[in-house]
Amino acid sequence: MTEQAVTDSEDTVLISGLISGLSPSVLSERSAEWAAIVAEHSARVYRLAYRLTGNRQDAEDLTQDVFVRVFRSLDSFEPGNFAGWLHRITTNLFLDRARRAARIRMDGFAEGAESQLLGSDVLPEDAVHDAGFDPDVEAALASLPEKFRVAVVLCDIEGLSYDEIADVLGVKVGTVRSRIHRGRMQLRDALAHRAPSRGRTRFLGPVGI
Amino acid sequence: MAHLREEIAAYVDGQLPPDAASKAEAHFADCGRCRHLLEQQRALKARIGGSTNPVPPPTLLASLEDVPKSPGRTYSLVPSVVGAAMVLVGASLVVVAAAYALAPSTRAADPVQPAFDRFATLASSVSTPRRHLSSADLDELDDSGWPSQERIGPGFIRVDGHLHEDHEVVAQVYVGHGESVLLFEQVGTLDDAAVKTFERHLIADRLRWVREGRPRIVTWDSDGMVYTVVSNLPDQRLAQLLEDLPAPPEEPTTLDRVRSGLVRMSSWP
Repeated sequence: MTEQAVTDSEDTVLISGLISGLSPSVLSERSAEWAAIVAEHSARVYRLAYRLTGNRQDAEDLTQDVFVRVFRSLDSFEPGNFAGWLHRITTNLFLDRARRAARIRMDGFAEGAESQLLGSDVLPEDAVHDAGFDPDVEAALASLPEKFRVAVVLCDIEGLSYDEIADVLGVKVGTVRSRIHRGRMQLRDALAHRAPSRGRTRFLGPVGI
Repeated sequence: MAHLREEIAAYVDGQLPPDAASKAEAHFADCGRCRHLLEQQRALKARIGGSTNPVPPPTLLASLEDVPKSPGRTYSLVPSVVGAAMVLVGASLVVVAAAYALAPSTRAADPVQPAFDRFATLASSVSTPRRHLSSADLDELDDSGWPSQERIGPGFIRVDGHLHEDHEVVAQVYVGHGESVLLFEQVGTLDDAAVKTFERHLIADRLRWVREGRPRIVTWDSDGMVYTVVSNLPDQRLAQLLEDLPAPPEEPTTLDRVRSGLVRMSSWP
């Protein structure tokens, strides 16, 4: 977290310079500063977006949405934890998409569509090709309810504390603890029931089942 | 002592207060079941966290850097080419021979009033009688004169279709990138009375009738067929999708006529 604290401090200076009394039209000319923000944070946002959506296409789309939102919201950013702010925007946009997809889901209408709605149409083999990710884990993560997936990803991949996750998601710490526990139990079951990926030799799973 | 539950996750993550962690450790020493769950969660956490990190592609970085120039949606998605086989397997396999009898036979079509509200409710948008159409059925529909495509727009793949016999409506369901899109095709021309609550906007270079909302409804007619697209797609992707469908004819437009559209155009690509 020390590294992140330093980064946040630098961000605060950078962003303060970007937003101090500047209109969006002027901001657009400050491309060098914006490019620095992109360079500094795009990999982190993309990684999170990838783990949440489970595929490259949706991850790129979500990352783009995040930076558009960041740009539009710079003037409302309160100097402080920029990384946490990015986490919040990314996860909220992801969950918004999930809710929207659920609303448009049609009973008995789009059979075969539901599994596609959140981008899980990407085969695990493609996922691992794209991201160097264990395809079995990728598929198991994709099978989790979005709220559980977000909590597990923020914890196990992003390395956030329960307090930080609670802050990002706007829920109580006890809820975070419950979602992570239940999410891991479901992941364990999903991995236990999942056959080894096609054409891949499964290494000895750590789950031990 | 009762078995541990959520405390196991919190212990693995180092999120238990010291006294609770001590109690948990004492329990783990005595309880094989909880110790097994502890090891499972530790291994699982390591496995999830041990993956390599995906790197954003250069095209995405370039697009992100351009956000200040056009803070709308600027990124053009590459069509997804995966999952088509899986999707088609999900399509219904019921064969509907009667569908072809409804193929549009004339382009001198009567005005029709599409049931937009029912389209928008989605779940009940195609009432009985209706039949599932397999991908093969839909391909044959295409041959019979119903414009029907397996894929449209930026990576949308058809996963299902329905035939509404009373109203001669074919409904098709497309999915892609976490979104679904409904496309309704109906023989006829668009009745003015049907679009009283709609506004005309320029999308994909043509004026179309739009009813904003969630979902957003876009409708137009082209060559004796009324098309209605129901979706929550962002502007750019919707425009890309519409480019793949038969377009309304170009109309002589006056400045007055497009003035209202021009306001909207700023948000369209």
